[in-house]
Amino acid sequence: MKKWIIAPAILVPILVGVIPFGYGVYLSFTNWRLANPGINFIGLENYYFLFKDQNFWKAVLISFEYVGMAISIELALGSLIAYLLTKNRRGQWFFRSIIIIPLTVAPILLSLMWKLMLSTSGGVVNYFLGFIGISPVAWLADPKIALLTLAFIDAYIYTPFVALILFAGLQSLPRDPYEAALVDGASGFDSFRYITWPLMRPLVLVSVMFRLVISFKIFDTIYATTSGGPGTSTTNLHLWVYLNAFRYGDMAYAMAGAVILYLIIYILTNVFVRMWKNATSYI
Amino acid sequence: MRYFFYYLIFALIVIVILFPMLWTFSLSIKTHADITSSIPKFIFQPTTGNYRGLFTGETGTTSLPSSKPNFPRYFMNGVIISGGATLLAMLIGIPAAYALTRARFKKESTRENLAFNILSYWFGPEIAIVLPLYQIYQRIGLIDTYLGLMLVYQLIGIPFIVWMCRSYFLDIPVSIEEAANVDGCSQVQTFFRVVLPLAKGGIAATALLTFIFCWNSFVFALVVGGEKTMPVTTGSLGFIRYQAVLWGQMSAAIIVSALPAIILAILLQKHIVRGLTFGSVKE
Repeated sequence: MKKWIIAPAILVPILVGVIPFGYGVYLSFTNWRLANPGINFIGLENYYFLFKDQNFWKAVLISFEYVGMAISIELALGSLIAYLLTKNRRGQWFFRSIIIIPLTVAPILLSLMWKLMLSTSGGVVNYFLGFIGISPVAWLADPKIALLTLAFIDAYIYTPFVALILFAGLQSLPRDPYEAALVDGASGFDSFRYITWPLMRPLVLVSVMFRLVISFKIFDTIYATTSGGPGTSTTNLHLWVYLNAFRYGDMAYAMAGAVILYLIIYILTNVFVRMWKNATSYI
Repeated sequence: MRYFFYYLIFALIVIVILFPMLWTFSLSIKTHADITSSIPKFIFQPTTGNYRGLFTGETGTTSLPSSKPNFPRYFMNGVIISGGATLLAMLIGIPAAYALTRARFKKESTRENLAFNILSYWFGPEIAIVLPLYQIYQRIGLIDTYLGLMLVYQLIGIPFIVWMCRSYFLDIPVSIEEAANVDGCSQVQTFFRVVLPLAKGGIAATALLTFIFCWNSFVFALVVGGEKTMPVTTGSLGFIRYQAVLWGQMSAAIIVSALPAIILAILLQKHIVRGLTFGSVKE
């Protein structure tokens, strides 16, 4: 086996990924602006201003809030659906076909669908809520709830992902330990605590890791629905970077933010990979 | 009675998942007046005007500007860029995946580490790469070109294909390949005559999913794409940017852009969980 056939798969991503990123790290130490072609090295100035920039920290906080809300909803609903799927064998094929759909359609298209339905002028969601006496809600225009609305759109798209992974895990659980536990007089909670949970933990970690990273750097659904508004109430870090780069033209400053975004994701991923390796080490 | 409860919940979930799509579809066959009525209309005279308008470029109402998004072009751009990127990524990724499954390295851990390195591109925030790439592409004239986008889409394609194909190759028992070697097949012959035929189902699914991921991706097209190369994801936002929102045509555009993914979702059911988790969850 010639090992060099791996080379293109390593070199191409380096060419379009690592080299641009490395160049970007350099640019974050300059005064590069969209309108100004002259680039001068200015040291740590961008990072200095970044750490004093309240909007930046707010964006970091919003990223975490969004991830926290979205993942809580997705884990809760996802486990419920996964559990229900194991209880019901008939119609499983149909049901699975349906819940896969949100995962394959472009998130931006799905979020545009929700934007149409959540509209305050003639949107169908408010219309239905009117029947049960709820007055119209500005889902995406009220700074207090816009982020939560976005987390629900996120949950609409990605809950099936969590559900399908957990379902795959539940199906592959061995029968024997449960029978043994039953014979030994273990309660339902005991068998969950000592059999189901340890066996399911790696899969829970896999789904949380995927969801964590992808929701943390979410961009398209927010860009399409609120563009970070109203005000800055839904501007997460990814959006903050984009807006600073292309709305305010401050490319170098935005790039400094992007480097921080990269670092946060790098740390999060590593923590989870480590946890996952620990959780699978004894299986 | 218990089953009634399950079916009720399933029905509810199916409704929640399908409703946005059905609603968007209903908007796409309404006239502009029906869409903008303050109370959502459930009974209306259906029209094909929005779909015709999508492809002929007529807006349907005289009060709206005639210059409008060129949807057929966006669709073709999507096909060209995603198709080209998928093809290139397959050419690079499949041999690499095979080498990462079977090649011998001095240290056994090298193989795993290389595979993990290739995977890690998928988790990086797009914006951290695409900001500096924007400048690089402008300098070397790759901005708003098919080639430029296909190259950067390799960051989506190569990691995915390497991991998925590797996971399918690992399913093939080494003994089969050894038997082929004993029978006088060279390594290359074994790959083409034994390994590829055995893994072809998985490879086909991987190719289609890669296409969908490229089709759905947004940030790359937004920053290093442009008017000439705009695919459906960034293009469908164009229906909002004009003096008025072309709700009907936007809905039609969403439906047409989402259709390939919906069909594939149903066809690829068996492979999708495995695909979405990079082979870490098999069914």
